[in-house]
Amino acid sequence: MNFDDYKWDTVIEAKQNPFSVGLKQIAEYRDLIFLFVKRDIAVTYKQTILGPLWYLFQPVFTTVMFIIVFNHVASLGTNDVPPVLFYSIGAILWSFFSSLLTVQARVFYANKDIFGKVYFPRLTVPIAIIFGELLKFAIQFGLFVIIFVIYVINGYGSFLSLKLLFLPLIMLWIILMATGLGLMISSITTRYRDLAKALEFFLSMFMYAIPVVYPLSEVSGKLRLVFALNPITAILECFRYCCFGTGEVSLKMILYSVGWTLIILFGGILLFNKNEKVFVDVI
Amino acid sequence: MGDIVIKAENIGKYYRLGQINTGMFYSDAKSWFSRKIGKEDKTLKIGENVGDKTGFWALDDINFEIEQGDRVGIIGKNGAGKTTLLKVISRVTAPTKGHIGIKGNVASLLEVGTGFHPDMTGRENIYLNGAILGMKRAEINEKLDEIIAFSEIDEHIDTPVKRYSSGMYVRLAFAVAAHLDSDILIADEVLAVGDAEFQKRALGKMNDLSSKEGRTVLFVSHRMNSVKALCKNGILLNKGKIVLRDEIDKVITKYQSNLYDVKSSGDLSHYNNEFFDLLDFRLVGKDGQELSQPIENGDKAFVRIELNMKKIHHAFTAGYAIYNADGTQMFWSYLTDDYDEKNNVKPGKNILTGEIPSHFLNEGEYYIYFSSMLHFIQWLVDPEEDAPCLKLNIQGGLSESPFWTIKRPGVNAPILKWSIKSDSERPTQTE
Repeated sequence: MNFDDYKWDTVIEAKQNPFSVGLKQIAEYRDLIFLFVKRDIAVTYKQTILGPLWYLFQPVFTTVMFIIVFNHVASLGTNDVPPVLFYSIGAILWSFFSSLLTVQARVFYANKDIFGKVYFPRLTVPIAIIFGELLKFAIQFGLFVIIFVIYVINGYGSFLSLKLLFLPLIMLWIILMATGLGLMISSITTRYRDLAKALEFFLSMFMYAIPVVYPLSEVSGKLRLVFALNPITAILECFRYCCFGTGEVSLKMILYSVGWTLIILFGGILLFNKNEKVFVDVI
Repeated sequence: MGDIVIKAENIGKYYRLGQINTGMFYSDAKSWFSRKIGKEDKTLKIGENVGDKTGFWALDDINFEIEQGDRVGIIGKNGAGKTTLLKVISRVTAPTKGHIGIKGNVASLLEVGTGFHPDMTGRENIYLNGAILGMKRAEINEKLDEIIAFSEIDEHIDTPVKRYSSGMYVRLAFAVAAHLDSDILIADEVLAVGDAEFQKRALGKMNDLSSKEGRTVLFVSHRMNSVKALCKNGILLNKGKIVLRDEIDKVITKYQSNLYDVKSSGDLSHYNNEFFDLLDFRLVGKDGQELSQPIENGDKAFVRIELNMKKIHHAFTAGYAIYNADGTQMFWSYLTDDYDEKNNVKPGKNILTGEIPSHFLNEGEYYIYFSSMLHFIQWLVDPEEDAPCLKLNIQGGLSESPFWTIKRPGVNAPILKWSIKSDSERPTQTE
């Protein structure tokens, strides 16, 4: 009988569809995704006294620093949004993006022992990372909501706006962008570790190149165009716009950024798929 | 003939050699660029096939079929491609060419305890490890008690595994793996862990799984008696190619007859290290001359090791490990077993001679591996890892007694001292 005459459950070949995500298989491994999330969270705070409270310290201290340095010392505006709100959401969003990106960028390297010994759909790991980071974000965002409510009670604006409904979409947007970028970097770093080193340095610089600690409206002239060309700018501005109703967003900027997000996402999946089959041999 | 559950066709796996660094990036980029613009790839030399100097084929044109319920042992020397083959079948790494079809789900145990996290408890790790190996949560729930019972961890199950002894760790890890419900089980040396008692139990469990439950097993091990106990059929690999696919006994015999032979090869420089050069390794008789085989059981044989010592280390020792034809280890013998002898290794050329006692081993073929280490520090030449090997063939001469002339049951055939005390002083009357 010929090879193709059999009904195989699995066929292992040198080349497989580079864009296939294998959603069905991933769904079968949902228990594993759940356990990975649980492990990552449990392990981070085992043998600590404050446990998950650590999630809250980071945005609180960052916000305080931002207010002192950028609002008071550098006198940057906040589009008339109370500085506490403006900087805290900036800090939370930026920490979500950069931390998601950093963790995704280490996916292969950090899991090389498991990947080298057992097969399971590799994308379960990046997916578990997304959920883990989202949980952390949810706790921090909860803090932001509480502060927001306090401000509203004290007479600042209103938060019951339909625009809030867009927030989950914007979150998805950030997730896809950070994950796509992270997967690209992690795939390349299996061969050339330089990129992992560069990322750390780059991310700490990059925060100042996007409107995290200031609104886009503070940037003027030719520099403005450069900022608008950065696809991450639109995401941050959109998020703030939906929260506070101020900021500069245009449809053009959004479409431009979404376009980039899709390109990066597919690039990330392509590289990831190409890499997951052979990275064991080069790492 | 049963159903075919695994079929491999033309499997090849190519590994590139050399370091990955700037030079590699440059040549990567150059060859990529050449290919993109449709020019000849200049990084390949003219007439060079992939696989010349830049790399090698760890698996080369592998074809086989495995039937439902078969238990196949994959054997071969280190570097023969055994582990690579298992990795390809278990989808850890992709083949460079060819394809494999698999029916049913595969559980691969290239290692036990994959994904165990030291900070998590035994129970948490059972779930995590089980899920990594492809078990569903409900399945694990169902088997949890069985797994814990098999592992004998009992009350420590809610303690982080970093506080486990290595034995407990291994037992727990194997317990999870042994309870996998898969149609095909792929295992690589997993039995080479834990103490002897545990290994026996693990082997028994593996046997149950395959014989009673009709599971297909692919098993790699250096231990011939494990392979023999577990497998019906075997595949012998050498340098990435299948040499023989037959019943396990025939495959093991073929493997052992093909082992490293000093006389034919003569080149031992491969084993040189910072402490010594291995100049010679051979069997000699009482007269110091080359041993003519087969020898009789009553003859003494000596293992003669010639070393050029380059560096003296207080924990240095050398000797041999001897195995019978089943792969059972008979014993180890080292220069330092007799403590004073140790002082005799001096810088420069040393000849060590180790006696193989007469009237001790049974009739049969034995394999003697060179072995050297820094005691409790590191192996210099691990007898289990492709060490140079000598064959010793013992036939006849089992004893002087007319009552014992043929091979006896048992692994050894020693002649031991007996004494007798009788009540009567009278001379014995024979019938």
